[in-house]
Amino acid sequence: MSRLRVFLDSCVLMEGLACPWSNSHGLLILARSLFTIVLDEIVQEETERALHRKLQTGYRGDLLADYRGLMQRLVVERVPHVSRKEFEQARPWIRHQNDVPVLAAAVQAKPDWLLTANTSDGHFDASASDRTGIRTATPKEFLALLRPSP
Amino acid sequence: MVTMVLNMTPNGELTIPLELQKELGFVPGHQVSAVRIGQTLVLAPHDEELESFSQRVEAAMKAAAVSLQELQDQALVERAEIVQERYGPK
Repeated sequence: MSRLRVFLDSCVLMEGLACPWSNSHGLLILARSLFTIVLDEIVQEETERALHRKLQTGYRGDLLADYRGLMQRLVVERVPHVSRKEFEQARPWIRHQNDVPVLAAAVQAKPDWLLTANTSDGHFDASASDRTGIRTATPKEFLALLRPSP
Repeated sequence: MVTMVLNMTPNGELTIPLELQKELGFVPGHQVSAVRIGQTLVLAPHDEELESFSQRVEAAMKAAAVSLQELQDQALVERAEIVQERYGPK
């Protein structure tokens, strides 16, 4: 059985790191044995910046070193920042312009699934999927797909 | 995929066959992670580094009174800044 390649949005990565009882954390636990995690540089960078800005003072240890070390081990495939030209080409694909480079990176990486909690209108919604062919799901929806049939 | 039947003791304890323990990286005496997917339980070797990091992040959130939603929102703020830095007008 080939490993599924899952591209994580930062909301999923953040939940997986911060909430040990969440579906996203379950995904990270299973990643080593079942999935290949695909991560765009922008997702890794924005998650790092947000953790640093909000939690640096209260974290016991070196937050950035620990985060980077963990990402180094968990993330098997990295997608580099898309170029300005690729960004411009991807603009029509998604209404929310800050999501453009993430969707453009996903199109380059061709994952089996893009996992995000942000499937609301204008973000990674059905029309963005239709335009790019990228399948999106929330972590809960994705895990339900893995459930064996009764 | 490999399927097998394991016996559960009256105390709810399961024994993973030795061969599988070795192949999959389960270490006797160490913790095991379990992920519930619907009515199925998937077992995986405990990832000490991941769990330790998550616990420290959770403690830092509590100490700073920061919610998960606030962390996720902050990531979107950072995304907007990165997009501006990399793709904004020169």
